[in-house]
Amino acid sequence: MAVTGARIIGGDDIERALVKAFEEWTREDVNDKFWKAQFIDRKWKYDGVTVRKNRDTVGPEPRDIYDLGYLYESTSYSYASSTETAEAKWNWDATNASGDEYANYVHEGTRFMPGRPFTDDVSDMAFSFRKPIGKALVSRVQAALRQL
Amino acid sequence: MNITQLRETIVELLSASPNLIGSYTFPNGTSVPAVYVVGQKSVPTEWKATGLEVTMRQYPELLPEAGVGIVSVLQQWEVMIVQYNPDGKEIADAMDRMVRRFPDASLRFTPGDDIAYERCRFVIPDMTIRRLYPGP
Repeated sequence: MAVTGARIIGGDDIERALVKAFEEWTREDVNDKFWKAQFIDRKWKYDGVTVRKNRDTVGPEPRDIYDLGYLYESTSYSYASSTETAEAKWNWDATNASGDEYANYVHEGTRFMPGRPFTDDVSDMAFSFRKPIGKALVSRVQAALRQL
Repeated sequence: MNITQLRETIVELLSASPNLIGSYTFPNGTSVPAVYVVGQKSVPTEWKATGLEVTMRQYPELLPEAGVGIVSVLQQWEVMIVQYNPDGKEIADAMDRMVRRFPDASLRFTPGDDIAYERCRFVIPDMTIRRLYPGP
């Protein structure tokens, strides 16, 4: 006869480690690196031409979505955890000359411009542990569990 | 799945009776179904879209993971449907058909307003196992 078994001990410690790894991921990998990469480093397909107030024209060519920086600078972040959940949220509330918020237009596109879905890789839309931002979360979780 | 198969699948899905796909009208007055594969070029601005437009990216995002002698590749295909006539209801039926045909797809619906038409974007995952290259 052979008998084997397994049990988890210190479940609360494991949970705390996971939550801490998640929070650090949102702050250090998403806030400090991912948004910069999406807004500044990444060049998005864009066929249109933009005419600025000073009559400068931009495009048509791949471009970043940092542009004048208003949308990027409007990023706000909140984090909350409880015994049941840990949740991070981001919001962009930059407004155009008409006073309308335009983050969703940039993200999903309009009749005049293509969408540039800058949150997809960290949202349920297209998150994957195979992407760099997903791998970063795995690394943090593994590191946190190794330290237990 | 490749782009030809994806296009055929979606055209068959959305053109089944009742047909939901709208049309492009070229400057010379000719009309064709409003289905476009976005590659290096987007839909030409001189094409007038009416009804429901379907566009899809020519290439998926490739997310490989190494195996032993193989690579598993997660392909993420992006498909967009846009309702060009504000009083149209085709997009609701199209979303219903899409989620039933691609149950593991993610989708994001955006209501229409003065600036953007009603639209829904899908990301369709497609896992494939490929032999390492070069090889049989």
